[in-house]
Amino acid sequence: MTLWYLMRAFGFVSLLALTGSTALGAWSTLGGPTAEALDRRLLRQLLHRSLAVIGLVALLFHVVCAVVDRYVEVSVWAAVLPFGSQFRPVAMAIGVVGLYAVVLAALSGALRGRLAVSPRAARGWRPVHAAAYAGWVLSLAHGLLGGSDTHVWWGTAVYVASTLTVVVSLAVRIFGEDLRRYRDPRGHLRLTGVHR
Amino acid sequence: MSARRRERRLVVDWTRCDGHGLCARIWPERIGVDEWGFPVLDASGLDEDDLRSARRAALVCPRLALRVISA
Amino acid sequence: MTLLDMPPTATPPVVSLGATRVLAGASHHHAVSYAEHRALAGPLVYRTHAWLCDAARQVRLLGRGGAAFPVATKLAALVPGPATGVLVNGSESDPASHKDRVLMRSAPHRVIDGAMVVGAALGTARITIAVHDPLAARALADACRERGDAAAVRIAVTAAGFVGGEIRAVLNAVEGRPAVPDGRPVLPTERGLDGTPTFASNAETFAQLGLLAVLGTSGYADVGTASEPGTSLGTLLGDVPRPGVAEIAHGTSLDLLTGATGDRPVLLGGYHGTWSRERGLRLDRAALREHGLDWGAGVLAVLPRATCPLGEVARVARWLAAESAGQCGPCVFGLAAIADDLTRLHAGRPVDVSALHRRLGLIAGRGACGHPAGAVRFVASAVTAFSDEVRAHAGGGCGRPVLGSLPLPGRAA
Repeated sequence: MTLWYLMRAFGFVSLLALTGSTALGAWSTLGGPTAEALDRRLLRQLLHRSLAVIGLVALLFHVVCAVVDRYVEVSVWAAVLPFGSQFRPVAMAIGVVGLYAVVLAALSGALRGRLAVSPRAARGWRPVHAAAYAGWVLSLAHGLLGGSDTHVWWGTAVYVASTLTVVVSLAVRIFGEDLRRYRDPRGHLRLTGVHR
Repeated sequence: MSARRRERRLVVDWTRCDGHGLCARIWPERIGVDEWGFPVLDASGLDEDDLRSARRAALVCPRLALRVISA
Repeated sequence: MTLLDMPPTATPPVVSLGATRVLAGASHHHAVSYAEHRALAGPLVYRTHAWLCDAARQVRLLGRGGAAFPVATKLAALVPGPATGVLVNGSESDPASHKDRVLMRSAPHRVIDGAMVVGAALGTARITIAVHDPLAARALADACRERGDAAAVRIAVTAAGFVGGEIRAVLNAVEGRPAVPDGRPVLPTERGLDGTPTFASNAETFAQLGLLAVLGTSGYADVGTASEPGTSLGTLLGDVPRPGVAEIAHGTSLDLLTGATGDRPVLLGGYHGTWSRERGLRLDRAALREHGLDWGAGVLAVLPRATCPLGEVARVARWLAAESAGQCGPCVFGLAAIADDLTRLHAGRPVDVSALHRRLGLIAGRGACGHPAGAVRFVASAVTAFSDEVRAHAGGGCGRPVLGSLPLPGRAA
């Protein structure tokens, strides 16, 4: 029974950490050219990675606890393949796909340096890493649908706060851009070095 | 008998660089910035100590516009 | 008459200076027909890859596109086979240069012969000629139809921007992509047409190679100097005794070509070239380089006394800035700032000259292609060579209008 509660706890920890990481990722392009602004930007990059690691570790424990625990039957296969679970199959499927997306985002992040070497990889990096947004949405849906704490006040509060955080961050990213955007001759969207 | 070492250099893919300036902030000794925010790289080769800084600069670039090459 | 008096479709006169081989029989009135060409050039002589590399090395043949890369080295980097490609770069996007257009319009068979010779030496039929100019394209297409052996030659008409003449931009254009240079340049000999190793060179280079194949090394070296056998095509512009396109024997005095300029600076190379007051120079690429000059695209221009040089240079500088592909920050912002500074200098408005020089020093070498460096070279040498004019304008002006003696497409302002 303890593992069952731990599983839920790790789930929330993971969601909170990944929410923070996703939000910081959305903010990654913001900031001016001054030394202070750049330092803040570098700090955000660092926090982004740290929170991602925390979120991944918590996610791992969340999955392990769910499998090991005997209160509800969740097999190893159900944990890594969608549609393998007897218990809340839809929510579990969403969770597993969310897991894939989060892992994809994490791997692309970790291998970023190696990907800079090939021009095609450098171009494809950002869209692949953006799987993080999908992973976040799926994780949220997994918790809402499958979680036992959705209707408890603090559970609801976490979900609402997480949603607000990511939505606001995306809005800031899209509308708060300080640098001008333009399309270069290859049709790629670029930021200029000149502020609005 | 000794193999001639290929020189490593830090180079910019200018069609990707957007002048964010993070590279210059993280390695100001070798990367400067022009009046529009675009990096001015010291063209000299990289020795072992430089390599770590160069790789870090390449990682920090939001556009993956920097890379270390063997010339 | 300057080249500016003619509409863009008119072909500049072919000026004969006595060393005419590649342009033999050519005139701006008509293109040399296949029959005439064969009568002048003799039958097509095919050579092996080894022979061609060796011959090119012996006569020290350099590329005629401006970079002057040793042709033998480029040729030797390729392995003959059907997967190899041949690309003739006839894009000639420097508005001051007309030599390639004249060559292709008036003596297309010289270019095609050269392409066929290189193709045969490389054991490939994959030959593409990339052209901007529609008249040159038509002349080449007509010439291919006239002869029986050039059916496989593909003529690709590509977009005409200044930067579109850069070899990777040409490759991109030929393959249907935007005609701009790549951020990570790869040599065409490694990855060219359709990703295969390709011998890519300027149209005139091919004409010279065709000539070399026919004449052999000693015949080819009959004209020119011992250190640089042969001839180069050049465009003579502006206030010169015989304006037009000429085939010039290496070693010829440049003063002879420009005539009595007084102390007027001469533009050598093209819009990526250098303004210089030096005299006593010859068409000798190595010697020119020692003087900090470059034959480049082969343009020799002298501004008429009646026009304002600073205004002319500012006008071209604005055009150079507008011709940026728009991919690279230092080019987009740097060239615009420099054009702006020159415009202000011409207008007599205050300009921070030390800032201008600092910008000029910073821009070269930063960008995906040679455009920013070339533009900087053109402007920086002008500011030095025309320092008297700069001073005059700071004091109120030189009193001369800008006649537009330096050609620009579409009469750009």
